[in-house]
Amino acid sequence: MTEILTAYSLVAFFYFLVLNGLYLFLTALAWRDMGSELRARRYLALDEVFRSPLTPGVSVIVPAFNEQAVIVDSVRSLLALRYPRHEVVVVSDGSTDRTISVLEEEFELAPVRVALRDGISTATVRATYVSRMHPNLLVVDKENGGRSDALNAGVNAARNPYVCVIDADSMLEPDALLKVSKPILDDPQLLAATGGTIRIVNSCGVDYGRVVDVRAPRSRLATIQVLEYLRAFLVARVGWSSLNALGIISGAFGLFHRSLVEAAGGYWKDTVGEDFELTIRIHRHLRERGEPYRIGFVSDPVCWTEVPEQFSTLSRQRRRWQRGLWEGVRRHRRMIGNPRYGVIGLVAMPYFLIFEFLSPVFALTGLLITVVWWILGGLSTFYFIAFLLVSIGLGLLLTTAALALEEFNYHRYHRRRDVARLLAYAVFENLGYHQLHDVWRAIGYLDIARGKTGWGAQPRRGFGTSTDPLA
Amino acid sequence: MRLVAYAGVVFLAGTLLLIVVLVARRSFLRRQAKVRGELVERLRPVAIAFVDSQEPEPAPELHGRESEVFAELLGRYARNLRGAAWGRIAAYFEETGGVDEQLGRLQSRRAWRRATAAFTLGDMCARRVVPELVAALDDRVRDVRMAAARSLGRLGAVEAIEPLIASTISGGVPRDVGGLALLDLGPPGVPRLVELSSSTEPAIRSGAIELIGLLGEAGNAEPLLDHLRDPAAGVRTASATALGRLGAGEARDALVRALDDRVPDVRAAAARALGQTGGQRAADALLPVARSDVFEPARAAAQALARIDPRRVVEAAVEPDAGPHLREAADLVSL
Repeated sequence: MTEILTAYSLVAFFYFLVLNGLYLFLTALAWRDMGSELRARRYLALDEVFRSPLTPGVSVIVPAFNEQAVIVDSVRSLLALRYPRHEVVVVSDGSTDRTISVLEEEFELAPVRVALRDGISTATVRATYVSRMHPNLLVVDKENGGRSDALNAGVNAARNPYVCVIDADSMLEPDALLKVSKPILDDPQLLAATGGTIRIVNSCGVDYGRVVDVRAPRSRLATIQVLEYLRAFLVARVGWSSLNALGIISGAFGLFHRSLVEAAGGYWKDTVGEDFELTIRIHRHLRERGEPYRIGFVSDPVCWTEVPEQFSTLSRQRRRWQRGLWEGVRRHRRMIGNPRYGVIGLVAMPYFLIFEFLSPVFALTGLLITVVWWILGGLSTFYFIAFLLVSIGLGLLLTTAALALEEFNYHRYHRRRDVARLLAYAVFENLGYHQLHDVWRAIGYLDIARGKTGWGAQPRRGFGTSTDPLA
Repeated sequence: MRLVAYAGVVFLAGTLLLIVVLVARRSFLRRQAKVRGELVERLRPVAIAFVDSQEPEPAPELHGRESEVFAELLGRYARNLRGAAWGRIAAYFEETGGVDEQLGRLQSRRAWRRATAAFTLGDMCARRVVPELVAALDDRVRDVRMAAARSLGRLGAVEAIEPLIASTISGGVPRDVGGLALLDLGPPGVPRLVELSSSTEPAIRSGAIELIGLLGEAGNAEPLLDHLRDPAAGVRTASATALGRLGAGEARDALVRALDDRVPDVRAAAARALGQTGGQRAADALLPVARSDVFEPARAAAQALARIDPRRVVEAAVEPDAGPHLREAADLVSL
């Protein structure tokens, strides 16, 4: 028994080292790529893209379910995007609040019988509206069918060759659409899709749908999520993208060829991880056809989004993410380790299964057994301290490296106290939050076993703007 | 075991080191930004006076950071200026050695340096760099080619039209950037594009025709008419689109015939073009397409019809066989 527990403790520790070694590798890739991206800003020629009559149009799709608190600001920011030809397609997915009414009042919507493609089947569309003030604002009111269904309805309604998907509680920076579409415009034959960075808007100053004052969140939980998002977007996505193995384009901000989404069959409705699943399906679709392609990530364009500030809401979100991950991995299990799918099959999919989906098992049991075994005298105190030192040291190093990436390249947080606060929370994140996060994700296993479906409630606080749409 | 403990200490030390670097760099950047902000404020009126005064002003004597900021300001203004101001800006960069410096960087081994130089040269207004920029259109790195194309457009380098067209059509330079550069150069490129529209390669034919649509005028429509019967669907689509952009009334009959093309994209392009050329005959031909064709051509036809004859769309939309596109167009007309 002693040998087994010691061996397991070592296996869990080895797992942890491999996982964090991979993160260190991704961090190195991110630093390298970020340097090139920074230099490229000097000759990006965004003005030319904006002026060019050959720049193709983009339809920005915003699925909305009971989003009355945020939808007006969100739409306003989208209409103000700096892009030569874009439309905004809001899809109300059977909202039971005043989502449609606030849009009607704010943007003078008029009922228009818009012709919709029937390429992807969706729940019944009840009505469609076009704004009198902004003819490039289209609102689709449909029966409830879930987020994927709403996105599919948006794809059916889109009038442009590219679709950009964003969340209703999100705001794009004015140049974000230009920046995220630039790689596709530069190489439309190769680039299948691109994603941009998501940042956290909680406590930031927002005026008329634009973030005007970037601040670290006042909420402790949201502050820790800033660190998570920095690691996820500025490190992991950039790193995976440079390996051409980007496994997820966030549902909150991604750009796709519309025809590719249609050819792949649209968003899968039986999952809560529709963004992950679609990204993997596009990889699969193109690999099986032997078409050369890339799925890219651009770290500079930013989409600001609200994150949960309550433990209960965050717990639900993370459990849902764990379910979505499982649903996607399970549906595409034949890609795992399959050389036919190249780096995505050989590296990214095994990573998602072993180091994302199963990580709570190793993290929690490894920690538990190590602590208990040390208390019972089975492990030496030196080993225990060494274990703690490496765990905390690596975690802190990775988080600080992500924060340094942000500081060196983007410098969004202007106040010194905001950066100091983020640095301080890097410690709390490693001493307590990670473990709690693993517990939530482990509960996600129970949700999967129980066959749980659906999204659950997602309360919105609103952006705290100068104009309250509900006032 | 000792090794593991050492590793932990190294990680923690690495974290502390990163924090120290981060704090130091932040202070450095803050100071830099402050100095730069002050310089911009101080030099902006000088730069404006330099480019905008009636009488030519001597270039100010500047050194180090000051001259960098001044050059940056002039480069930015150059994007929106023409005429005498251009000459002054070019003379300034020639006198200060800026042009030669960037030409040197254009030969750098590092791609980003070459791309930055190619981009910057476009803002220096010195037309003598055109041959080097033309050579940069063949650079192995796309960013350099793209920056060179953009700068050639900025410089109004008419002599670079041929290589620009070749790069844009071959895909060496992205369509949006290459197309805009050619647009900056204007109609002188059209004769060569007309020649290229007879190429044996369908991609070259369609690229050339698309650009004729952007750069040409109504008189250039005639050579495009034959291409509405081109064997390649992409060429027929480009031809219809170009004829629409040129507003070529004489193309109306050919475009009406193109509404029967077997490829939906061609029919949609022809419908859009008819919306731009207008006319009663076009309206008559668009109505059945709007009623019963597949999605894209029907939508394009309904919108084109609404543009030519809004009343007819409203009347047609109440008929039982109107179809969704006419109803949509009618509702949009009534907005």
